Amino acid sequence: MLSKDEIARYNRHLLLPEIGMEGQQKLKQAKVLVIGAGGLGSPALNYLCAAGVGKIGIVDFDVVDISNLQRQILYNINDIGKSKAETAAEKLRNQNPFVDVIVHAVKLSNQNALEIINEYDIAIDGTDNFSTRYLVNDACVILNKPLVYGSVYRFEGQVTVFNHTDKNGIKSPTYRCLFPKPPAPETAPNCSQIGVLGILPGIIGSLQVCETIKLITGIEKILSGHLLLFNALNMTFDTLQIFRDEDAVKTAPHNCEEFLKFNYDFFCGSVSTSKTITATELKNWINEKQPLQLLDVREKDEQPEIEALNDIHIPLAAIKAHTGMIARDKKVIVFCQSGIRSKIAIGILENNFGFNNLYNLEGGVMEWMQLTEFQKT
Amino acid sequence: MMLKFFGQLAEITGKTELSISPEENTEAVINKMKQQFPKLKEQTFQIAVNRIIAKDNQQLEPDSEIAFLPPFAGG
Repeated sequence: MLSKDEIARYNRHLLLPEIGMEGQQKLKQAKVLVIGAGGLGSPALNYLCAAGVGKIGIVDFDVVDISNLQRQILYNINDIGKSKAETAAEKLRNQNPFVDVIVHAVKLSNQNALEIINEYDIAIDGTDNFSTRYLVNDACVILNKPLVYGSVYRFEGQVTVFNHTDKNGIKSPTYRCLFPKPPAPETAPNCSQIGVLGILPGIIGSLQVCETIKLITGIEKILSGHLLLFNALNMTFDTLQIFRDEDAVKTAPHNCEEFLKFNYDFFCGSVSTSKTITATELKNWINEKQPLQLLDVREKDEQPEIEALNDIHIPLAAIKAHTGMIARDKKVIVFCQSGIRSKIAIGILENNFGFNNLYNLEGGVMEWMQLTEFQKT
Repeated sequence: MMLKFFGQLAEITGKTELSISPEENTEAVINKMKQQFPKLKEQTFQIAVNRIIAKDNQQLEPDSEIAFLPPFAGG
């Protein structure tokens, strides 16, 4: 039941037959998570709070920077250097005391995403990088939650609702159905590199809330199976029809276990957790007696055999079946003849088995030989 | 036929809209554009034909409208 104060506060919603008392109570019972309290998150949080969404979660690990103030309207000059999630929560609590605001001042990862998102009915994507966007999508698919997607580029924005199940039980497309593969990082710069019109995320974030309110109250028709494209320069809206693609859905981790092992940064090519090491550096590490494991991924009888590098041997083709032999508690140097197969092996181990302690020997055995030959003469 | 470019693809082509002589299918249009604007080769994008996302190579009519759509990360 709504209190007298709530009835007064939500008067303009209560007057709408599409929302009314029933819809407003649904809003009060709803739990919405906003991932990223930046350009999209600012207006999203403001309007969700004003609308009386009962529980609002805020995920953001960042602090307010002066360059955020051009578009992130939740913050002001006194907030610079403060936690975005904490600051936003304080503003929202003052804006509407009937709303329960939960702070998640953490970096969303495959280790915490399922637990956090599971507490909510709907997730709003206000993130600023592909890695987190794929992560949020996959988590929502596993948890069967609708994802209200928005993204911006300079003067243009995209909005849709992914993974929504309609009243006939039909599921809408996911992010992977629209974009099965992330772009190469160097071809897709972000706002901090190329700029963005300040009002643009204001418009797109507001549209995301509009769809969220409709999802909660059951107002037709949802922007699901349709991608809205906005261009602020031409002031045009285009809508494209998109379809669920089960093959694309299957490329995502299928369950919690696979999700926990999936390396999103590696998948998006942004930052591989693996590093490269030169033959000279490796020689120093060996001389310093650093705790190392040396993993040869060449074929069993491949020459030359290097005594100094003789440790464990798993050919690339067999790597998936023998991950148990690979150390996780010390540096593992992965090598092959020239450094190519070892790179592939690292990709497999990081992506599917969650390794984060792998080093690729640059130039492989060839480079090592050259170094040792050089030192002999 | 009319082509539409979004986001960084419009920056590469220098246009949000471009009229070209008709091609038989989407693959031919993509190849033609990649030849004309080699920077498109590095880009990840989806194609929509008459406002419907087209995954595979699709036959076109002379009056088809083809949209080139990149993913955006910004938020």
